[in-house]
Amino acid sequence: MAAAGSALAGAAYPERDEAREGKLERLVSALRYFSGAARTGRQSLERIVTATERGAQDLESLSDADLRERAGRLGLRLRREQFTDVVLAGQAFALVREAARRRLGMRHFDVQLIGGWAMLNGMLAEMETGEGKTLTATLTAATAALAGRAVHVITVNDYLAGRDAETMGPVYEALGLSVGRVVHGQDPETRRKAYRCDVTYCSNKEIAFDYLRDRRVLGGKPRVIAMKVDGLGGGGASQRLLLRGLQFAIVDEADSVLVDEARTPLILSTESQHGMEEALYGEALELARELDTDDYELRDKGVQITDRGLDRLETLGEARGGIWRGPRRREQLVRQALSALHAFRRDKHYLVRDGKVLIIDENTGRLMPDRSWEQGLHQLIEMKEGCEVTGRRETLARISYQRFFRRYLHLAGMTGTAREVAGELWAVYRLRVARVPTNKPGRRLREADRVFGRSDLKWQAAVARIAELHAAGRPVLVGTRSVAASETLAAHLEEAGLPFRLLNARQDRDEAEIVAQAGEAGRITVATNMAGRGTDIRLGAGVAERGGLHVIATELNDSKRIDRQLFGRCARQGDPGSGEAILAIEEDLVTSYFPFAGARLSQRGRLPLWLGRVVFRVAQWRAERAFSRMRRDLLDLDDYLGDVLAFAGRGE
Amino acid sequence: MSFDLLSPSWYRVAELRPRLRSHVRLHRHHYRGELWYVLEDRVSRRMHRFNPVAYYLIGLMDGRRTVQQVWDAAIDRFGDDAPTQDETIRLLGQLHAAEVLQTEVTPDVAELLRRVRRGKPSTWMQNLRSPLAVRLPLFDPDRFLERWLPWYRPLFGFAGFVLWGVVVGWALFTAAAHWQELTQDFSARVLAPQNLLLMALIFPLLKLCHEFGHACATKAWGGEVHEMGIMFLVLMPIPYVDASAATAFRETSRRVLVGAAGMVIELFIASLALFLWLDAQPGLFRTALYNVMLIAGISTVLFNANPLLRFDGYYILGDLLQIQNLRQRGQQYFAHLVESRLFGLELPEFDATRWEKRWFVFFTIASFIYRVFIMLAIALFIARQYMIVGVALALWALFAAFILPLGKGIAYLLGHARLRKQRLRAIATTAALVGVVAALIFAVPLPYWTRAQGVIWVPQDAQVRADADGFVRRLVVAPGTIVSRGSPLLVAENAELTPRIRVLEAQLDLLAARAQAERVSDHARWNVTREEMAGARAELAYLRERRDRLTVRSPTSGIFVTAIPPQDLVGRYLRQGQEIGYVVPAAMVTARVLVSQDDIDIVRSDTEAVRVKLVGRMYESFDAQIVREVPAAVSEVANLALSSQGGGSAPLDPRDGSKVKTLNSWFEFELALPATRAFVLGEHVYARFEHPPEPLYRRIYRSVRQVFLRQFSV
Repeated sequence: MAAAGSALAGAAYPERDEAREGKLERLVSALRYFSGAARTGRQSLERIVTATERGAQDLESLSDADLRERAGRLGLRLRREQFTDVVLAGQAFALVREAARRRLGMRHFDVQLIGGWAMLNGMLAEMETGEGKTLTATLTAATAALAGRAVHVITVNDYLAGRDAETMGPVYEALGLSVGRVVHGQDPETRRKAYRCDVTYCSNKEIAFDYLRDRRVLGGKPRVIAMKVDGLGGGGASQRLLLRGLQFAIVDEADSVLVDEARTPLILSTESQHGMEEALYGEALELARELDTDDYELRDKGVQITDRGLDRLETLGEARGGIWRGPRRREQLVRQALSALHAFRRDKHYLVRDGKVLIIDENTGRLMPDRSWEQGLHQLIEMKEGCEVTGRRETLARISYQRFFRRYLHLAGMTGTAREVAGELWAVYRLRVARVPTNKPGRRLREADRVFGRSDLKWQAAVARIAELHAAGRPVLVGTRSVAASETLAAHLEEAGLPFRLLNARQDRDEAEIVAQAGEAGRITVATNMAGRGTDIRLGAGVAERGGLHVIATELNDSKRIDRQLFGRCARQGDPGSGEAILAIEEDLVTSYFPFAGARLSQRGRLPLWLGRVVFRVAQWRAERAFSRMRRDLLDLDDYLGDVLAFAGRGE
Repeated sequence: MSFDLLSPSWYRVAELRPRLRSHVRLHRHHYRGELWYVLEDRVSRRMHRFNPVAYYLIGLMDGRRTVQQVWDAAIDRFGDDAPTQDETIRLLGQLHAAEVLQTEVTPDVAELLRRVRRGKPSTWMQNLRSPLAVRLPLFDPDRFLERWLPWYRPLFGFAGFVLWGVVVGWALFTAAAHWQELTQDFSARVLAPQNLLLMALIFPLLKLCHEFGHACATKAWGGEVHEMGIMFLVLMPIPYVDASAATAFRETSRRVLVGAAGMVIELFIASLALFLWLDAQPGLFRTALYNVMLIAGISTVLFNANPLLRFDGYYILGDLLQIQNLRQRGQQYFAHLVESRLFGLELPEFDATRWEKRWFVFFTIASFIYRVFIMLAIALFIARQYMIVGVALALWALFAAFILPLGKGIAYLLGHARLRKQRLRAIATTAALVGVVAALIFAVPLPYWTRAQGVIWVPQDAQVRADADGFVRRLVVAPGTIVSRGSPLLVAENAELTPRIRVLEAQLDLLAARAQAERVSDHARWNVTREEMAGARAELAYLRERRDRLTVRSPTSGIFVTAIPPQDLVGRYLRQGQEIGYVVPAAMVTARVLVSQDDIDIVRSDTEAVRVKLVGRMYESFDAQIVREVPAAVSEVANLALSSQGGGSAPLDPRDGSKVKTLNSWFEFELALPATRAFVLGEHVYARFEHPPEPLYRRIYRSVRQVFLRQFSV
């Protein structure tokens, strides 16, 4: 194992101290953002291209061993000096590019050099989909690793982590760097080994949970001293740690990880015995079922009991006696039960598999098997679905992604869609967005959208369109938001007698295979958002001539970025491709965020395009604002809790 | 959310075993019949108040039980009234922030540093925000007070009370007896420059005694006093003492007495000064004593006892009402009212009784108005002395009092998370309120008038004056009788006039005879004689008229009143124009009213009607007409009843011995009162000059302009 001696050996577990910003600091940083300091010009980034050319002069003639040796020597210099020095970075990039050419047969394009350089400078590189972000990351990751940093390349899921580590591994090896990968289900020892590698590929969840585990090991002790003492004794805490601190992160699909997922805190928990609670939950459900629709109101994701409902509950509670006499606990339990019954829906928020309730991640459409809801909600839903009730999860530690990623000494990211959240990325993570030009001009054709009032009209139109494209021999990718919607469409397609493949949280076993074939002629693929990110759909033979892959969005997402991701599946790397949206007002986005329009338009037929656009833009804008606020609140809440809970030590 | 029993953060605290630090003491208090526990941190000298449920939790924190066990016990004991987990965490956080909590875990040092850093600028930020009240702690007087404790402790008992009562009571009695002496030439004495200097020297010394009063009272009943320093109130250095240890006293009366101790001492000193002053020889010492009385007596009552300012009176009121933090909670209650009633936020019921809420409303409004008033007055006062510094200070004070809260209010409206769901409504409500206020100020015409004080007096033309020089021979009518216009009132004689008339008459006879003779004989001479006769006749007519004028006639119908007693009048020599008396019209009476310089412009140019009320009968008012106005400003009162000494509005210039010179210039108006009823001469009246209704802003503009014109002679 080639664990490089850390340049940061002085700090046993390097991570950034949380600097709470005062009002003045926030103001200054906002000024910096608006004055343009947060956006870096293309010119200054393009210096890296010439620097790399200069560094690449005699590399092609070197033997593999010499290449490795040269990388080692450069690493020593990088450790001594700043790796953000453009000459040194250019030399490093040239080495990486040479290694990639030899091992993968892929040579980094100039735009990839620019992207890599932007990330090395702690920015977020916005690169069009299909521009080879995975390859770009090797430039930054290898340079930082040569400089002795523990580099984490963070992807959105285990599949991508594994795939990227595998495909890019040879590049690092050619430079004498070790590569590790962390995926779900590994034992701690394997993980520790993977994290000891120079470059570690992992998913955001895995690394955040591993960090939380480390924090639990460290506990509230003053860290450096305690670890040094432990170190003297041999064994001890430092032996039980997984990570080598939070030094250098490259976050793939950064907007998804840093923004979308930042809403929900990560919770490390253990299952505890459930005693009387199960009975309580059962009774709460019984009480909740006795209430009518007049007794409660659904709000956002919660339930509000009306005055009438409260009165009825009181009589019911008095009759039951015991804990149900006290209004506070009674109402809280019943409210949770009502949420479980009415606010959380099967196949939308969760699905039931093998007698277990599994949460669906609303952003990715993927299952999150090891997550559960808090405060009895999970147990209530399990009861509602007649599953075996798991014990109450007892929280051991929690952290939000916002806090977690802010602790990295050096944070960089890449994504296809960042400009919409550039302000937030700057405010929260001090990440500047650098837009990297495309290598070849894009050939994506965006066709006119169609907006209907009713959903059934939408499905009809979508099926007709799919049939038409299918007949023309073009591959079609249809995006849906929920498992249920994807299954509705599947039923319609089956009815129409069209062959298709379905990819959703329930049917995710052949994901790689389905995606790999999605670009073949005449192929119809129906997928939830999970197909959105990181998957590269290669066109089959002869497809490019017919116009390439066609993407149909049947619903818009809460955020425009996620829509852009879906359309980004087509027309990659200069291929032809087209996309359109076939939408209905009778959808969650409009009914939840623009109920005024939803109530008036949802039963109409086809709407004029301008009207549809306005309605969806307003709804999306409101949704984005609501989520942005939620994230800000979470961050503020974390700060507040941090202060209030200061007496409990520096735990998470 | 906040009502949830369970907290997602509970896991952080559940296994902790907290306990209170050893230097903490708990006291049991009753506030308005409710039980509270006051936690005294004897190191930081801070007090924290907890209700019995919180106290129960605190009591269980012994370093052996975990938070979970403590909370479970509370649930068993209080059931539904038990604190939620969030509340429990907040309590722990509060104890931690108060630095009285100890757990087995090292607290987050970063938070501690943040708190220290946040705490520091907040003091100087506070000083910056209220530049008229800057605090500087200096030393710890506790050991000094400890050493002298046996000397003053007995004073805080029955003996001390009796001694104080006797001295102050006697002083009050004496002061009443010497009231005239004490108050004469008051403003001259006080505002003379050398006196101001003396006052500036005496003031801090007296306030030092005042502060020691608080300190000794606190010590005498077992409290500790650890901070003394200087506060710059309106740039004037004033000592202060931190007597917050008294908060821990269980007896309300003791807490009140600690608050009042400063004033008690000052009143005592003022009493002693009074006795000395009465015996002292005129000189610097006597003046100094006078100032001591003034400061210790009056300023104490006006400022320290005033509960609307945050001096002793405020704390005494708080203790008497048994409402702590009246001001702070009052403001919170107002914010609560605005948020819940106007903005429609769903908030939990404000934690206060009905009775307390009434006090909050009253106190908050009254103290706000009073504070703004005092602040502006102070700023103007300084501005008059030091124009630039004063204006800068005044602007800064205004900024701190209005602009800053306004900015905060706007930021709150636009950005505060609490308003999220109701923001539109909040903004709309605020805009509507601002609109209504703006309309009231700028658009709605409001009735407008100027008030002036005056006195019932006879009109100018009712005066009876001597028309010619002469000795009074007799009164034709007795004073008090009703006379008609033109009827003779008294007759005077001029010893020189009668012979001259006789001579002239004789001369005229002579001339007539001569003319008779010359008419035929000598036409030329006849003409000359006729000329002479015309001249003599003219002179005679003049003299006869003068003689007639010696008979003084009534200028109008009414009751004849003499200004000089009648018995003194006969035989008295009158000069032409001298006032003899008045003929008071039986029906019509006039009032003479003084209008100040500030109001003269509007009164002159824009008076629609005048209403008059009598001091003795405020319930009726009469229409009046302006009969006459003195075109120029006068600085002498025609009637002493118009001066402030006579109960009127015009202060007299104390430097002038004549007693009719006023301090400022006034304009005199003569108003005709209705004839329908009788008035008493010399009776005070209030006149109201009614102007056309106009919006408030013009009036505000006018008064601000006048203030500037007057204050800065711009």
